[in-house]
Amino acid sequence: MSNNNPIIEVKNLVKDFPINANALKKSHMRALNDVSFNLYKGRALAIVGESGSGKSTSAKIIAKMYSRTAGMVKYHGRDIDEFNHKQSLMEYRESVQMIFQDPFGSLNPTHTIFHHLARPLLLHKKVTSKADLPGRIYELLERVGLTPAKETAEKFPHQLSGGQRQRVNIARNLAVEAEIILADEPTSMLDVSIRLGVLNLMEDMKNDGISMMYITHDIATARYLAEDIGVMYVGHLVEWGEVDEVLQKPAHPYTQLLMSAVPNPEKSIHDNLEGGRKGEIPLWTPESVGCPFSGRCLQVMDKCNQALPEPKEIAPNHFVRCFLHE
Amino acid sequence: MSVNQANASVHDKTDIQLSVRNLCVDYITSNGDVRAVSNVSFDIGRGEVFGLAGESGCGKSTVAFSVCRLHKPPAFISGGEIIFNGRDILKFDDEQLREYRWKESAMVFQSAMNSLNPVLTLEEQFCDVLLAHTNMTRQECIKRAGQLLEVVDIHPSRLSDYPHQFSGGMRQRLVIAIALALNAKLIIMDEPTTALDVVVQREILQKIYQLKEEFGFSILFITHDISLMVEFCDRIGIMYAGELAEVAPAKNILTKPNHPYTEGLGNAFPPLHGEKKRLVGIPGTPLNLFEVPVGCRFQARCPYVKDICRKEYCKLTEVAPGEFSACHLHKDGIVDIIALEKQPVQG
Repeated sequence: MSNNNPIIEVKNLVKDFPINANALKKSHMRALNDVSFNLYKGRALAIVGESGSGKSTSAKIIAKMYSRTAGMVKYHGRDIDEFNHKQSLMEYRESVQMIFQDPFGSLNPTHTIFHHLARPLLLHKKVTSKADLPGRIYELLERVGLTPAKETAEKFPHQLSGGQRQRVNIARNLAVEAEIILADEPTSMLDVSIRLGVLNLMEDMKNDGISMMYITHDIATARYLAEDIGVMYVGHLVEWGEVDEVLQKPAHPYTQLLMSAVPNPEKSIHDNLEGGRKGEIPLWTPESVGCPFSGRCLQVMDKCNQALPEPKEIAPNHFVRCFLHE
Repeated sequence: MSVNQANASVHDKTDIQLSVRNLCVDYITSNGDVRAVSNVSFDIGRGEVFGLAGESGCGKSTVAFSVCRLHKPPAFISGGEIIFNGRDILKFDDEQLREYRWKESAMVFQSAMNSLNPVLTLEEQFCDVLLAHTNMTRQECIKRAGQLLEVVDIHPSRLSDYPHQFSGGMRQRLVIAIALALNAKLIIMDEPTTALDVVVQREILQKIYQLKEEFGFSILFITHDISLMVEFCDRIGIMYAGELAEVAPAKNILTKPNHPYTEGLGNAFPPLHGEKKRLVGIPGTPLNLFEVPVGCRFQARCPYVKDICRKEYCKLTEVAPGEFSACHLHKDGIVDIIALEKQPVQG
């Protein structure tokens, strides 16, 4: 764990979404339950887990796209709810940027790449006169490897490949000099040979001091990019810590299940899954009790159905939420 | 050695389920014709799992569609043969084709989760297939549908449910059950598990393998995830820009690649263990099929490119027993590509 102060501090975050609600009845599902993690300068935290486990929800709360139900999110020690006026909200949004999964949907098809980069530069007053605009835009495009920059700037999104479009999104983050980048499956729609280029670009940004949250379901790329990893299951962070420590010595049965299921050329398709069995993923509600994995866990005990285990540090910077490690 | 002889030698001839010979598929576009699949030849043995891997746009799905003859204009099969059980399906008329599809070879599509009709119950969708292709009565169809659901571990009582009442993994299994409905001898699976979580993915692939052992069908398996393919397939064909670059036993693909593109693909997957080092993958971008160069199609991205690669086309040839490669490096005997020194690639 880094010894300097966290840039983003997430503590006991809870998020409920209404489901099947009408005038007479209100019911909720709990998308995030008691989630805590920190983001540090120059480090990347990878969040892995299946779809619907709350990975994107936590990023969207940090980006202030969703409000939270309970818990705390702090940016440099200040509650992010304090950034709610026009000026302060603008400054927060400048520091905290997102990269989305679909590189086509996140660019406007009717505008050129030049326009996509000019907008944030002007809006956040990163250039003082319009005359400086082209120079700054070409510089950004070159930095993300889109050369020749002048020709790329004149193109429309449909003239670029998926990888190039994702690079434009990254250039937009760089344009506003973001401090934190929340990358929500940035490479899952890219081709294998293109994917590494984008990952390497993100790695360079991280080494330049940007703090990164990398949401993915691909554990191999999580290990490639991130220093820390958090494993989510049904809205709970079940295990987290230094990436190699967690992946080589998975302590939570769900992490063990996940690791045994990851495609690995050294294994055979016939190898059994470890740690858990197949089963339906439970719908978590504010009334649910116990460990969310208890229904599938091979080592389930009585108390697993009665209370949610507290996080425990089983090794330096390796936390797990499981009664097996109490 | 010609491609034909070379590929046929993999199997005993009587044991071949499907044999694709010099397949060419063209797309007619306003900018001219594009050859999306060019001279592709491979065999699939009975009960064998054959994988096709490559980047998007390399033609792997186009090959799969050809095997079921599902192409519609602007795509058309411009050459070659697809021999299934000794008969060329490219010569089939409409009625023969109707008999062939689903009974002989069935397909599981890429977006299998969305290939169920949302406004029909499962019973309707199973009966639709069974009534169209067999002489069963409706009662028999429902009984058969129940059996098929049990095969993929879903309770038969759920036949009256609609697709949205199932999870993604269950819908995927349902689509596989429908593909199995008529005991097809070849199942084509085009990225069947790409949209699923790894745990569900492994459960489904184990199920497919178990069914394959039970019913003895062959599988043409398509994915871009090489790690998964190595685990699941018996033999793998690597495609680049519409051509087969390499065909080899699955266990050799990552450890002993015979084509520089295969080596690059293997390097594009970060490892789960061991030292963390910066990977480069494959420099450059995939070939634009409008600008096919003279010589090898991989020349612009190849770290071992030589003069001959820019002049002469290299055919897929057998470089070792059961291993085929389309690369000039093996001209004077097989070469260990991993041990070669790389040249910097321009552009």
